[in-house]
Amino acid sequence: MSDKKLNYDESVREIEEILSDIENGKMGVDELTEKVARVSALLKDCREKLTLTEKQVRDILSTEETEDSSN
Amino acid sequence: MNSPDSISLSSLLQEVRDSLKNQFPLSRWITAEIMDLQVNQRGHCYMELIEKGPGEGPVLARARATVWASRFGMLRAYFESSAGSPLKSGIKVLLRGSVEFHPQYGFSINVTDIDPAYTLGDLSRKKQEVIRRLNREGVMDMNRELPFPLVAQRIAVISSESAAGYGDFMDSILENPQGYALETRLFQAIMQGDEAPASIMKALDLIHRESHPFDAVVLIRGGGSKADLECYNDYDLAYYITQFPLPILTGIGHERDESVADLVAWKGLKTPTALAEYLLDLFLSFDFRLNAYLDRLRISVEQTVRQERIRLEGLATGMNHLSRSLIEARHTQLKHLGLSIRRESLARLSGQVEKNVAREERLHRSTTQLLAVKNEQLEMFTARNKGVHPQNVLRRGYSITSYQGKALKSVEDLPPGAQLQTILGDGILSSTLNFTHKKTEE
Repeated sequence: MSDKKLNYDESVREIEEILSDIENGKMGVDELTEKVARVSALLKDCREKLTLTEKQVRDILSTEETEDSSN
Repeated sequence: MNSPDSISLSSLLQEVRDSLKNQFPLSRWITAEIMDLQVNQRGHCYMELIEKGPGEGPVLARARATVWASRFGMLRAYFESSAGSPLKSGIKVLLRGSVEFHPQYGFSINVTDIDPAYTLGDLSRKKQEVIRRLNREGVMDMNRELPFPLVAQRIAVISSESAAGYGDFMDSILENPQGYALETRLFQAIMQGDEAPASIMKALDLIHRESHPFDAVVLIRGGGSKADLECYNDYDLAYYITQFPLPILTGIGHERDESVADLVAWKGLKTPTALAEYLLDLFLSFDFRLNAYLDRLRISVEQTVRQERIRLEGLATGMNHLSRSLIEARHTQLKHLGLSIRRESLARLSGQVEKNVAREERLHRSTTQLLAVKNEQLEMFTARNKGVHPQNVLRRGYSITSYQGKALKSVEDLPPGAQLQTILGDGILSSTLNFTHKKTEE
């Protein structure tokens, strides 16, 4: 869930940094896999965040917690 | 007792009335400020008009004014639609009226017409004055210069719950087809009239004190063209907006030119719906941007992999050449080595050969001697052994008898009639057993 705290601006900054490194040929093939995974994860998180606000996430989490505590 | 130069009040006032009627027969266009405005049950309007000294100075003049019901309805409608502002206390107006004087009710002005342009002009002047002042103070752009997030997802809404504009805004937000999620929270306020600026500022204050900050603030109102929107030209409200630490967007829903609040806001939209669409567009743009990143990623990765492959193939080809020439070099090396080894060994060997011939002769001699000695020994053994060889024993008259393939050493367990074989020195004989007799020990 800590990924959800990453805001759009920071995500975009990181994505652009990695993309420019790849495009400038500054990246070896080994590092490439790791960085591609990172960009994909960031893109996925950003897209998810568009349709699910932090409050909704918190509400879902808190209802789960109260269900757990009542068990 | 009647004094000759005294007059009754009513007479005096009647004289005043006649005098005034003579002096002011026609109606005149009069500029004044409305101080108080009341409309009674019958629809008659009673106002108090004043004139203040320059710069909101002391009241210089004051008079009552009336507008009869027959005219007031039309007048008000005309004024409000033209000026976009209601007829109310505090505005400056250009009225057409005639002087009236009634002995009983005193002086009043009977208003028959009004020129909204004057009020508009005055309001416009006031608005320009507010704008000038904000410019002088250098604050006009302060809210606009605040950074705006890529996507504004947490919104503070200042509106009135009952306002149609609020409903429109929330509908657009909640029912957006892409399912984008915005978190909104309503801060109620009065959105028109003289009480609006203070009410809105109070709401802004509450928002400012929130611990978990919002991304932006929106001012929403809509519906009803007759509403009094002069409040949005208020200096205090505008100044407050410029100083506010969050971007403020307005969707006030007026038909005319922008108010000062719109001018100082981060962005002013025409209607609450347009404002909702603006916010949702940010989501859409960002969504497209994410897609563009994905495309860039795919393309650049494909390119990188392709380049790597070419590089590796180049390396492999280079490797091939390299290893081939290395092997050849090694080959040549080994060949040379082989040749030199052979030369060396031959050289060594030829030296060795002579030595070896001598050694061989020596070896031959000693071996021959050894063999001769051994031969003698062997002959001696053989002669001795010949004596004890079984064949020689048999020749001397001894024989071996066997029964059922086994050589017999005892007469026991032999049944009469048994077939026996006997080996002699020069052959075998077969016989049948008659009887046996065992030797007894004495």
